[in-house]
Amino acid sequence: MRLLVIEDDVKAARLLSKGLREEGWIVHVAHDAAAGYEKATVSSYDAVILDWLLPDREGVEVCRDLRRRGVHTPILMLTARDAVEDRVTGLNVGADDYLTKPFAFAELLARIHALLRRADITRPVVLHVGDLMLDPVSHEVKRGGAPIRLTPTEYALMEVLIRRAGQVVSRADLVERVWEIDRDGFENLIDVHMSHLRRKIDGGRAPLIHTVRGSGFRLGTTAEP
Amino acid sequence: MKVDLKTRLAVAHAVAAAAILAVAVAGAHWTLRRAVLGQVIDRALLVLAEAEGASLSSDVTVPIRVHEMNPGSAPPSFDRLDKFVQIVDMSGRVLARSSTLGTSQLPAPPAFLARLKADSLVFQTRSDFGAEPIRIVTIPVERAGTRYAVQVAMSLDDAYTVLDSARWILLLMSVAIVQGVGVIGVILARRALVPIDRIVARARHIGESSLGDRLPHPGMENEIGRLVDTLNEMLGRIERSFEVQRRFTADASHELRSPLSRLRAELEVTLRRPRDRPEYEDTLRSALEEVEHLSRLTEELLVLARLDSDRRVAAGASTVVVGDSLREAVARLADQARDRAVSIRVLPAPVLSCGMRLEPAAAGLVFTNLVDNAVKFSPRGGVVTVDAQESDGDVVIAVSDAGPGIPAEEVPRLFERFYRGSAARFADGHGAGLGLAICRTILERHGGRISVESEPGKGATFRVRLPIG
Repeated sequence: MRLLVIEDDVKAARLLSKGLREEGWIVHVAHDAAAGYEKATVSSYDAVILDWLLPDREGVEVCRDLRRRGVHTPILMLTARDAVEDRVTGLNVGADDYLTKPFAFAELLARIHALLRRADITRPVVLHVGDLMLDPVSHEVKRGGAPIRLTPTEYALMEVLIRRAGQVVSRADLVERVWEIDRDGFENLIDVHMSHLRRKIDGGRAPLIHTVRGSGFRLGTTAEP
Repeated sequence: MKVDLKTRLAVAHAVAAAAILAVAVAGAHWTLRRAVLGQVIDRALLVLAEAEGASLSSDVTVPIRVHEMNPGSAPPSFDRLDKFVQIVDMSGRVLARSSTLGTSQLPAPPAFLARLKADSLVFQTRSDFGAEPIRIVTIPVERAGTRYAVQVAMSLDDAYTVLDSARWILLLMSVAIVQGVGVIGVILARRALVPIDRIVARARHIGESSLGDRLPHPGMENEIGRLVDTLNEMLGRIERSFEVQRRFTADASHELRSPLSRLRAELEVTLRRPRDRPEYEDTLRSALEEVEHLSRLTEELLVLARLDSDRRVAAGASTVVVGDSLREAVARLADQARDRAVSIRVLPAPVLSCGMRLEPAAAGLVFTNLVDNAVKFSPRGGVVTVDAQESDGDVVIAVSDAGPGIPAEEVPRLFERFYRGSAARFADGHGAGLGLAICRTILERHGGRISVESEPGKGATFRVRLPIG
């Protein structure tokens, strides 16, 4: 999954990114409102962590502008301001959640997981497709109850696919969400990893990972959507 | 029992009116009484008595008699109307009587007559004469060497009736007036003071959360209107100072939470997984940086809090020698200056040996801060000059650097609490923007001032002005 952190405190941004990357996510950082807004509109992210006090504009304004622009990415606002009016304002302009500093990192993680769950209407905590189970919090992956060991990259791919279960996920989307690199030309890399993944997940069982010719991949119990 | 102003005013009015009326009525009654009894009654008696006395013929052969009127023989005699006239000798024997007396005699005891002195007359009031109280005048007369007394009397009944009526009329009039004044007083008082009730009602609700409210103006430019205007201005001042305070607290809380947040994130993230030793050392070092930042911020906030709460001017001020204070500050920054290859020069000047009134710790804070800033913003190999001059009984200390200077739009805000400006990012970035605010507060407390002069690209000069003493 790919996250955007918009925070002007360089050190704080660095610490946040480090912690989030260690969870297996890709993290991009912007240090002011303008850069953050641009990144969020140009690229797609699965969640945005937005600080309230930014040097050029308030985070609340950025949030409002993103929503007006039609960007529906879940947004979690971070700030040292804890007055009730501020929380209400933040949520009312379109933020999905709000955390006051200083916060426990574990809580930030839990809330991000909660935001990521929202992409699915049923919002399960642990994701299931057929007899495949993926627990985002513990990073456990099981098929038919039997645990499967995945590399971090494989896990990241799996998370993207299962969160969009039933939908076609393009190679570009996968690249964005699993690697730091944004460029094209890495389809090959994907195919290699996907074939490893297939072997671990699908080997000897009903196939769940399907290739959609010319479009990408899809995780589902049947070959046809 | 609470008695409000309206009632008190009305009661006071009524009481004052009653008092004035009491005095006026008493005076009127007394004057009337004097006029009626003294003028009307006594004078009439006297005139008639003297007339009778004068008409006593000196001829002893003519019998003593009281002049009476024959019916129809003369114009009406107003003098004798309803009066009793009697002439007695000194033994009390009645020699002549007016017909009005009928069969009675006016009292004239010999003892009383004996006391009658020549040329003196006596008035008496007697209620034992008959059905009505009478007033008698007795005057001594002489005829051919013999002393007699002429007595004239008349009833006081009518006079008393008049006076009684007058008394009742005055009393009723007073009561009516007092009541009228009372009622009008209450109405007027209420009209004048109703705006005050409205003001009180609104004022009760104005509190910390509603300082934007103002008191209602009665609409008239009178004392109450002026009072409301003044109070509203005061509310404005209070609201502004609350606002300043609130902003300071909000800024301070943000400044405190940021390093705490970084510290926490750092430690939590590091502890989530096993790390190798160098990484732990890095984390600890980084955590220590935040702790230092927090310590410095806490100290500065405490200094400000203490300055804010103890507004007594220069509580612990003593005379500090200018040169000593400056040299101490420079010494404190010697290491840092050396690290950055910046040299600090204190220019010689006679005023360096003068004293200024400052709390020694405060002096240290101010000058260390200014020299520290100058060193931080100086280019490598640059020079920081400290120049003290005397001017108009004050010492003016200028700390100059050859750094990047300060943009014009930032200059007015430089001394605000927590203001950092763009250049702060180039420095070590750990200041909270309180240093200059503290300098300004300290200097103003001691009767001094701080100002800055700067042009982008041409460095900056901070000037501190303090009275010499």
